[in-house]
Amino acid sequence: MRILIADDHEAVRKGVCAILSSRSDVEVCGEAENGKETIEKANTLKPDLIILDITMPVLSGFEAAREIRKTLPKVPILILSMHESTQLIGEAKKIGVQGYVTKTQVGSTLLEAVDKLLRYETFFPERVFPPESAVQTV
Amino acid sequence: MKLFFQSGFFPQSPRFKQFRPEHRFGAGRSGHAGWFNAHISAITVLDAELSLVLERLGLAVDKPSGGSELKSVRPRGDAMQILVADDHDIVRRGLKQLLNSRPGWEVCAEASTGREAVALAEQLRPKVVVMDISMPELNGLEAARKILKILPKTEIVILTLHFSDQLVREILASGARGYIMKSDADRDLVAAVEAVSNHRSYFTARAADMVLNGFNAGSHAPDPGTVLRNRLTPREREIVQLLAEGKSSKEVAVSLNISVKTAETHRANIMRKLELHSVSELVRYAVKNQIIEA
Repeated sequence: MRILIADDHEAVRKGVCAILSSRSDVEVCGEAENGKETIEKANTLKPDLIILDITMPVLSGFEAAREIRKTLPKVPILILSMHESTQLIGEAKKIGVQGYVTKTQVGSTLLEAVDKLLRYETFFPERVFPPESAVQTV
Repeated sequence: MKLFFQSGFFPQSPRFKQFRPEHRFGAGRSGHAGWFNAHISAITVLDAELSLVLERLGLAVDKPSGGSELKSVRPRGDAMQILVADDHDIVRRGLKQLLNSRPGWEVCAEASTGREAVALAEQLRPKVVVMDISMPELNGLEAARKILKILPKTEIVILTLHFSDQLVREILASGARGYIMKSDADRDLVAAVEAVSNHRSYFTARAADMVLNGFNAGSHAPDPGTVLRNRLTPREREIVQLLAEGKSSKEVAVSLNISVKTAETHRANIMRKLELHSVSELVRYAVKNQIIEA
């Protein structure tokens, strides 16, 4: 299974790679630093799954997801977000992405989320988060 | 070589309970320790009790990450020891991978709060600490001050999300010699650790420019917030963060192992020194001065 990782911070991308490296059936086929690059690499590499940060320069993760949905409607997208926000999870669902994990819990949930999305199931946090007063980024 | 030990590997006997480092890898049988350090790069431990035993053997045990029960243990060899502190597991993993990929460097432990970073630094005495500025319980700047007080030869690189000349000054005042943006970590992290490990300073070009411009423009006079903050003692600065994170005086007392009365006295002194009148004002002050994130 080939996975494209999109996050503007290399430390986060390397962290995701480190988690995925425990799986022999998964290969990171590409990395992107912004939303525009994600769209380009998605269309070129045609990965089996895209792991996508929301807050990225040039084009946000949500905007990139909207575009990718048009050209690659069957490729599952997993949002990797700093925000534990019900509103953002709702927005992600509206765009049509299949999963959402928060960066604070990614260590324990990423592989489970990846497995589910590769089986064309969905993965969203069960608990409802309070609305955020301000936006943080990593 | 990597070893994988599971529960039951060692005999669960009374004698085992008295197991001491010198029995296996200590000076009395130095050949074992030498062989271990030369041949084993990591051990994955699947059992909490066993990890404690390995700690007693003098091996560094990483804390479990992301809720996993696994702990990785590394022998202490000749590699330069680096402690990584960030409240995000995913960032710690990434930093660890970036740093461990350099020959002769080894991330000896990870911390998820400033307080944990201080404790691990004291225990493991790393040469370099790479630390996020925004961490719960004790932020990176206060943790840096505490670490440098205990280990003045340890060098510290601070990672931040945000950028301001005031922040650069705060970082300089904390004693850290390195300051890089998280977004520039791929480009600057290795260079920063390399520089500080040779006791040289490393600031990203943007930070260096900003400080220089600030000084050239004569804007190096501290802002009123800094003047007020400088009135606080290190203990009071710690308590500002805990209160701003929503802890009560009782919770502060438990967290710092002090009496509730002492915590309340500190709280009253803080409010007086900072000229604040309510907790909401204290939270605003903490956010404005980047003691906590909004």
